[in-house]
This record gives sequence, structure tokens and C-alpha cells, in this order.
Amino acid sequence: MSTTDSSAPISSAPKKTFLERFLLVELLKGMWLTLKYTFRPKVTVQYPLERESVHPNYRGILRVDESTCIGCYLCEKICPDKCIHLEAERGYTKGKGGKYATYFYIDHARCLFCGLCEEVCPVDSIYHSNEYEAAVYNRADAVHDLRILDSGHDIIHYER
Amino acid sequence: MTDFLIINVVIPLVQIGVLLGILGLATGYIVLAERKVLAFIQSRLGPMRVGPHGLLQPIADSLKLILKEDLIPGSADKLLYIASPIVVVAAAFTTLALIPFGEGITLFGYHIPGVIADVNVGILLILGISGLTTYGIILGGWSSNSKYPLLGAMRAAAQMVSYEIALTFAVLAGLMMAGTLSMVGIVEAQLDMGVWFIFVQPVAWGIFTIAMVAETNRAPFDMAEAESELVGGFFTEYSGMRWALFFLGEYTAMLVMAAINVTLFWGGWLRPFPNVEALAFLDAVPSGIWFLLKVTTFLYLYIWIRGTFPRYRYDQLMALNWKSLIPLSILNLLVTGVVMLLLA
Repeated sequence: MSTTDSSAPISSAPKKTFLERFLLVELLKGMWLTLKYTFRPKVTVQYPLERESVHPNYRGILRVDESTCIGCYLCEKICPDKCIHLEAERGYTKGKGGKYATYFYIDHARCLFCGLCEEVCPVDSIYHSNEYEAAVYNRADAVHDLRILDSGHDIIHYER
Repeated sequence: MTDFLIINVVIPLVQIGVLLGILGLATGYIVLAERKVLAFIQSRLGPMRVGPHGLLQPIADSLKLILKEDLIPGSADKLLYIASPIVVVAAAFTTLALIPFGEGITLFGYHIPGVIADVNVGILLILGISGLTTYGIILGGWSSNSKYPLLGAMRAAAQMVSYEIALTFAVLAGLMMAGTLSMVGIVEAQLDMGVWFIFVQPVAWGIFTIAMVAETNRAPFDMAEAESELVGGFFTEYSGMRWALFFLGEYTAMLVMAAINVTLFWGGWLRPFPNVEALAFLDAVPSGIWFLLKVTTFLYLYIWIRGTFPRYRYDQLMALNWKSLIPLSILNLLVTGVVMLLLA
């Protein structure tokens, strides 16, 4: 175990000459830096008017493809928030045999966007879209039924 | 009789009216420019929503401030609380009357000078009156009867009084060159000499520029406001129009200090290199424009400095003044005197 020399200078910055200190060289360097940044391209995205595209893997609003869903209940079972609810029955609909969902809703107010339902779905029917504008005026509007899940919810885009 | 009335009453009144009208708008736009430049330095865009590129933001801001509730803390000393922003603004506005904005123009057969009052002790009067700002700040901080404003006011008082010494000594060096205290006379002295005083007094200019930033309580010397440690400094308790008055005073003081700097060291309304005949075509630009251009540059410098440097610690602030600026300014004064004596 070694003890540090208390007499050693804390700062390792090179010693400045009197002229450097007198002419405020370091300060002028700092001002030159900020001047350069003044004319650099800006990073601000003016959100309602312009929007960034999100990564394809982005976990946005959940969507369900009604035509491929086989009503297996796996997504409902794995959901940690219990935000997915569905009923399925055996029968024929839309020219397709086997089970199909008669009733399906997802409460996006409870969803934590973990992506487990997407992973567990054997037919890739439930998936996260790239939509992130899920704000609603009424809590009930955050609950999407099968029709909204299949066709996507209405987003009112801000226009000038 | 009518001539006397027009020259001594009407013209100054019109000048004052025009100046105050422009100033109200200019202050708003300096604030906007500040927000914009700070944003640019940080790779942001700044205000963009009100008007094209946020150009109407000052109008929206002032409307908001006017409509805001006028709040006076229950424990505050009402009279002083109301009086202090007025003191700050009045002091700042009064100094504005002594700033020469240009050579003056002749309109309807009357000569309108570029300055409202050409007092023969102009610069002394400016420094004296702007010293009153300290009272406004101390009264504002004290009468609020709250800890942060009091701390801010105490810091401001110590800082402004200390930096006034360095500032005055720097001004004195320029005055020795000019041989007059009149603001107009200082510019005319530079015209006679054929060179701006910055070229003969660079050290004094450096001291003045640092001291003027400190004197107007601007970053990195904004100990009086110090948002991150004192909430809002001496105007923590103020809101609405009274708060706006403090702001108006601060920005007017900035403007006045920039104007003094320009007048004393950068030739006031003179064009660049007033002694070089080859540049005579620059005289086509009105003198007022040159002055405005120079003042604007200094206002930009204020904002630029604010966007670059972190705030000084209080002891560093005092050390800078008492250990560096004041000895340096006295030394500069001494050297100036000796050189002038030898050259005379």
C-alpha cells in the first residue's frame, strides 16, 4: 500500500508561461471552440413538423394481423402486465379453417412494450409496429380492439 | 423664442421618445439574440415557434409578462420592493442620454445632435449614475425578505463595488489620451489623433472589457443571479412586470457598457482607420450605423462569453479583481502617464 505524496501538485496541466496567462490564451481557445460550434449543423429535430424515423426493431404500438391469428392464447399467457385479452373459437371464417380470435383487445395503457408476445407468437401474428404516438385524451381510447389492432389506430398529425 | 424652445425642449423630447421606443424593442431582441446564439453554440435551434425563426418571440414574451399576476411577498418591505426595479431601470435609462450615437443630422433646418445631452463630464456622470444600479439590486434583494435574494444582493454589491475600481482605472487610461471627460470629446480626440484608442491602450481595453462584464452581472461573473445556486439571485421573489424591469435594466446596462467601450476604445461613430484617406468611401455609411455595428459586436461578445465560460467561484472572482485587474490597471495608468510625459 502506497501513500500519495501530499506535496505533489494535484493538477497535471502543463505550467503556463506568463505571456500565455496574460493574453488569456486558454480562454481564447475556448471561445474559438464555441465559435466553431455556432456554425455547425444543428441537432434539433422540430418534432411535430419533422420526425425521426425509428429503428426497424423499435417496439411501438402493438398490432395484430387478424387473418393469421390462430387464437392460441400464448400472448395472453406470457404478457407480464396482463394487458392482452382474447377469446377464440373453432370454426371457419374468411376462408380459413381452425381457431380464430373472436374478441381481442390490448390495453396500451398497461403495456410495457417488452416484446414477449411478439416473440412467443407461433405465426408472427402479433407484432410491434414502429408507431410511437399513442397519446389519447381518454383512458378507454388506449384499449385497442381487434379492428384497430388489425388496421392501425388513427394518429392525428400536427400540421402548421 | 420658438427656436430656443425647439432646440432645448422639442428636439430632446423627440430624441428621448425615439430612443425609449427603440430601446424597448431592442431589449426584447437582445434577449432573443441571446437565446438564439446560446442555442447555436449548443447545436440547438433556439426559439422557432413564434413567427419565422422565432422572430416574434419578444412580443409574445412581453405580452405574457404584462398579463402576469403582480405578486408581492407578504413579508416583503412593500415600498422598497416596488422602488428597487424602478431605481435599476431609471439609472440604466439615464446613462443612455449621455451616449453619443452618431455625428447628428440636420433636419428641417435644425441640427439634431447624435446625443441627447452632451455633458462636459459625460463619462464621469455615466459611471456615477450606473453605480446607482447597485442600490437597486441591494434594495431589491434586501426588501424581498428572503434568503436567496439577500445572498445574491450581498454578492452583487461586493462584486460591483470591487469591479468599479478596475473599470474606472481602465477608463482613466483612455481619458488621459483624450484629455476630456465629454463623450463627444473623446470621439473627436480619436479623430484628431487619427487612431482608435484600442491601438494605443490595448491593456486598458482588456481590463475594461472584463470589468464591464462583471459590472453588468453577466456570466461568467453572474454571482448575483447564479441560477444554479441562488435560484434567481436578487430577483428570486420578483415576477411579472417588476421582474421584466430588472431585466430591462440589466440589458440596458449591457448596452450602455458596450457603448462606453465603443466610444472610449473603438472610435465611437468613426469609420475604421479615420486617418487613412484611401478608405474615405466608407464615409458613405452613416456614422450611426458604424456605432450600431460596433455596439452589436460587443453585445455578441457578451453572449459569446456567456456561452463559453463557466461561472467563477466567489473567491476567484474577488482574487481576479483585486490581485490582477486593479494592480494591472494602476500599472497601466502609470506607464501611460510616463510615456505621455516623455512624448510631450
